[in-house]
Amino acid sequence: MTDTAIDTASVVRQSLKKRYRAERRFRYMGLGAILLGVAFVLVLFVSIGSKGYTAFVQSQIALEIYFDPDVIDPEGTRNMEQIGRVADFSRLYKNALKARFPDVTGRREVRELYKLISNGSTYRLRDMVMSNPDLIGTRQTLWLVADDEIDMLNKGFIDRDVPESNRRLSDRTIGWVDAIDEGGSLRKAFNWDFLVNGDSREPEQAGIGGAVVGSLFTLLVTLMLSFPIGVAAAIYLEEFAPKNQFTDLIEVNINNLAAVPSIVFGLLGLAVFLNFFGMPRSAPLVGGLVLTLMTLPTIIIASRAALKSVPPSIREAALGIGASRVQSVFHHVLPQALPGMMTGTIIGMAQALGESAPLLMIGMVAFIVEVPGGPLDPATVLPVQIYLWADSPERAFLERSSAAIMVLLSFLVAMNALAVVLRKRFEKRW
Amino acid sequence: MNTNEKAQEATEGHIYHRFDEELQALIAMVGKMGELASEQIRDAGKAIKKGDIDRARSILEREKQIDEYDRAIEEEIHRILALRQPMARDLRVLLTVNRLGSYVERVGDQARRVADLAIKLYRDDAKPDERLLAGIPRMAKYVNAMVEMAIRSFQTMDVELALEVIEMDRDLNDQFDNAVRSLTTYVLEDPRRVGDAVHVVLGLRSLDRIGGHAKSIGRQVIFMVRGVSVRHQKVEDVAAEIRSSKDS
Amino acid sequence: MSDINLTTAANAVALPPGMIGVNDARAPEKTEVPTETVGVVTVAEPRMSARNINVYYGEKQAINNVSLDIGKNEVVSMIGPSGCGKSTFLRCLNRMNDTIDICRVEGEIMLDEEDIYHKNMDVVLLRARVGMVFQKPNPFPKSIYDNIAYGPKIHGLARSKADLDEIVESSLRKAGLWDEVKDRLAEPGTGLSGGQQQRLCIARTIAVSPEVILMDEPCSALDPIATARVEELIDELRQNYTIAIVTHSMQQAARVSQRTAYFHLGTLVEVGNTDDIFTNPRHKLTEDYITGRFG
Repeated sequence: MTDTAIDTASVVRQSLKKRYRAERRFRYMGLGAILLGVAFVLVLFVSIGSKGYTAFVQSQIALEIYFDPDVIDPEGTRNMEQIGRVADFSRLYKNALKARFPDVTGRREVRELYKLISNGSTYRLRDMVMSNPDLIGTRQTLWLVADDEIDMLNKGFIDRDVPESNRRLSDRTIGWVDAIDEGGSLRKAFNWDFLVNGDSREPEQAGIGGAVVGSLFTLLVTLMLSFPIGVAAAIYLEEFAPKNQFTDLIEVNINNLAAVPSIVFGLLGLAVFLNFFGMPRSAPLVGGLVLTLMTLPTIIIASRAALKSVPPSIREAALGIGASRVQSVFHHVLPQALPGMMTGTIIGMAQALGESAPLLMIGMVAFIVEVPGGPLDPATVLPVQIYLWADSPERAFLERSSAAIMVLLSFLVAMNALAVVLRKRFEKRW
Repeated sequence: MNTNEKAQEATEGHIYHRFDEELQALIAMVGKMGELASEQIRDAGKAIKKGDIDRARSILEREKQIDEYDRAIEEEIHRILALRQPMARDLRVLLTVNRLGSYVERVGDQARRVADLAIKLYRDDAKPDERLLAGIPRMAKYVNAMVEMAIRSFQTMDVELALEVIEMDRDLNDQFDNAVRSLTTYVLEDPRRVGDAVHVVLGLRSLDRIGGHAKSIGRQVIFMVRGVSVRHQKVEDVAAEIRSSKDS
Repeated sequence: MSDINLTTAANAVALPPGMIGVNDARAPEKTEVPTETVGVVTVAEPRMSARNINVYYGEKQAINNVSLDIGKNEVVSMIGPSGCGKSTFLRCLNRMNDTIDICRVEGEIMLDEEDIYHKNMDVVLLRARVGMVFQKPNPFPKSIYDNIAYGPKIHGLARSKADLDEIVESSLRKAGLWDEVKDRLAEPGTGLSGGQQQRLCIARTIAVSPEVILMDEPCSALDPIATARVEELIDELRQNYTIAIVTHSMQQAARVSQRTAYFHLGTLVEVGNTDDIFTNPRHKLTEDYITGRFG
């Protein structure tokens, strides 16, 4: 007996080194995997961030605008409706530019000069006048949004050393911009337009506001449908349904649905909601319905897992003092399972927020300038907007799509954080 | 000690094997103690019959051993009760052993008294009259048999044998009465011997007591086996009950 | 036979012919599983009486022809090795087995002259009348007050908040917990110690004023001191309730119950006064079990 004990000790001692080495090796491998993952995420974030952060500022040019009554209201009627319809407000900033560079002549040069300012300024000037007719006849120094090419130049994305023929901006234009800059009339300001505006052909006017609102409507529809349906289905399957082949079949199918490619749900939505029920195209309502189909399995599976994790002793306790089955579920089991259900739901929602493929099928890929006002208005969503911009040739759209990705990611992070907070908050393990 | 004894068997089969061993050790101790006690009785009878004072003295010596057994058994029972919390039959075996210990110890005491008597009667080379001692050796033999049977009934868990011991006590009472009667006649004939006669009566009384203890052991064995106390019942009732249940 | 057995005789009633129960000669040599129960299964004043109960889990028979009365104001304990069917039998008494799909119960269980397995018997009502305390203390993850108040609330036993307060207080008092928790009724029940939690569960059961309380190994998760408190409580509750308790601890059965039933492999081997069962069991299997010869 003692012999074997001694043997065991020495044998074990011999193998110890090897075993600890293997352990260390495995630990380093695990650590390496995590570091690699973190590195990839960092690269992604840095590359997107570095490309996108500039989209949050825009170049503006200060001009002294003379609200010339002759231009705005040549007939002197002061009929605002008439003015809004007829007057050429672009003339105001064009005149101001001409006044700033009086020695520019010739049709081509003048047209090039006019292109310093984004043509979106026309609408801004009109809105100013429409809301305050007293401006007519006054002189105001205004910061007007510069054209996207000027913006790119100002942000240093256009290389001045490249020969003029290979460059999008002529030496002349660059000269004007430098002159404006020297006069202190060129600045970079926070780009509210980007957050508020809808889509536009002009990059400096394009914003994600429409896509964000579209996403919100879509998610709202998804949440309102998928959470109650998913939770109810989970409760029925877990607590009430008899365990037989039929419920087994349902369970298998739910699990399979979770693995179905999302585009298939898009096709289904196209066939059923648009073609059969004749619902409007590009509407967040339909998008929400399609995403509901997609997130339901996720929510049902998560909710069932949450219900399963509630100890059966709680059910027994309730039944044991004469609670009915519904009472035991709704008074005791559900409150316990709710944090898990909410977590599952939020993760499902985050998935839905990031989904673009099924929405392409139901027409949420359209070019929509207007910010949608309700779930029936045509809209697009953030990932689709990113897809659209990423396809555009202008340099300015590149930075905007990166910025939109940043916004999307921050929404996802916020939603996941919400999931964690909710779980911590309600998961009272008493 | 024969390990096939029934009392030993009855203690087997516990999941805690040590418990079996502890109970068996106890039972063995009771057996040894019983043997010792019956040897004391036998020797006391012989000492009286043959006037063997040395033998009587050795009885006084051995008495200490019996006390030692009694003490050891008591300690062991105390320990087992505290550690094992015995139930049902195990509990009855322990309670029985506990009582048996004190009964046998008292048997030893009484045997010593008889030995004292021998020393008293035969001191200074005295030669007491045959008639004076008449009853003692025979009664000693009889109670010795009773004690042996009682211990044996414990070891074999034999209710019949225990009952027999109980019934023998009645016969012993008759023997005691007869002995006292003949002693009375003897004293009437020779009043000078009244002093010795009183001692002899006390000796007879001790033997009668030993018989009483054997009877108690028998009753205790019946309790152990049947789980029902028969200590304060009439012998006939107990016998009738045991024999009727056996028939059915 | 003896004075001890006289009490059994007084408590017992004449058995209908052909009925279960053999009340004579000990059968020490029998070791095979008996088909008939040794001892008297009936009592003079039964609160619940089970007759010829068979329970099947699918194909497997868990309980084989068990009959047992539970008398008014008595504590009946059920002991036996694991898997002997004692818990299953207990769960038949308030139809807790209904929650298991494959479980099938045959036989008749009467609660005050009503067959609890009759189709007219509402299981919610039954469980309000026959409460249950479980092996692991399982307070609801709510406040102590809500734990007690839940039963009366769902059954509508309290007309006002004051009524409810009173029920909560009296239940906690009966469970001997009032003095320990009166200042923290709003705190979670799960914050109490194990023994307190179990007494809270008992108080929760009492709050519904059941006629019978079933306890399924109520002390198996408790330390000895907490166990002693719960046992003391069980003894006090006997004044007002009928209690059936399943326990793995023979000492516990001996300490708290008046009658003890020994189950073995789905059959009821022996029933008797607890005093008799633990000093002088009649069946060999019972004796072997309580003296620690198999388990």
